[in-house]
Amino acid sequence: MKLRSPWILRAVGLAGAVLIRLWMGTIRLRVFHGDAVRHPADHRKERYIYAFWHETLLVPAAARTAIHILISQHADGELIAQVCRFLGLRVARGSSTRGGTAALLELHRHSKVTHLAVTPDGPRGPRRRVHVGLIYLASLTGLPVVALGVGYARAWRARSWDRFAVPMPFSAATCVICPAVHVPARLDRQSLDRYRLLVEEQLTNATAAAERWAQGGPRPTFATTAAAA
Amino acid sequence: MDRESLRRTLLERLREEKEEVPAAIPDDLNLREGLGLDSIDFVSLVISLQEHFAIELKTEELEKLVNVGDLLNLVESKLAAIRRAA
Repeated sequence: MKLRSPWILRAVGLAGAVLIRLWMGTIRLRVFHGDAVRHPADHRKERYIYAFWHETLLVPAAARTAIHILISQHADGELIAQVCRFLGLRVARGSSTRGGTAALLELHRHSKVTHLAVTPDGPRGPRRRVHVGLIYLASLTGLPVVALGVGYARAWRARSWDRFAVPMPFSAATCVICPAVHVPARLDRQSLDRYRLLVEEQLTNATAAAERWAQGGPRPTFATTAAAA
Repeated sequence: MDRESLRRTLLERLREEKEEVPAAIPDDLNLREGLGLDSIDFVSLVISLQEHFAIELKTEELEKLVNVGDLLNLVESKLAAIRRAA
């Protein structure tokens, strides 16, 4: 069912935000910081692009910081955008498949004021593959990319392209924060792709480490140095 | 700046951003298919033009652009607005 009325969208968005706050309030979250900076950093002093898989959106969405998140212009994107607004996140609309130009320009403008958040495999996948738009955004804005891997002890999985995860109430979740990747300005396509692979590898490793940790495995000890690709 | 000077500047900016650019960019040349600009190329070009001319091109204005002539018209209108305000 498509929600078209702006009032109904707002009401459902508000209800969704309240539910997420209450739901995520029951989750025991442990965070591993992979470098010296405590994230989310103070956006007035230093800003970052936080990148995480689309399926793990619920954990970063509960963060309280000044951040603009990229939400797709697809029909279901409006409802997600409303939920994010009620959660206190600022929203930029667009994606690699629709409104990409507008989204990049908008995020470029917001990068001077707030952090940015991107789900680099969204809005339609392939699952756990980084689109080059994230790396271009980092190159354009000069903001370092911080990859966040999320793991759940117990979660329901949707039958969507991303197998969207909803942690079970009162279960444990973990977040592994990687060292920042600094992407140089004015890169050619080949170099953009090298950095894309680097961030994809970081996200893959961080997610695997977070999942192991959440399911009773060891606390991560890796220090993935974000060397130039 | 007349329209042909503007076109030359646009061509120079395009060559800085992209390896393969046609020798001529007539008004009716499509930005996407004709020039082969994807989102990344287009954003790079827009930011380059904004910095070169000290203008701001709004996203809702950019979404309406189809061909080279539309882009030149938009830049011309921005430059004219600056002249009027001066």
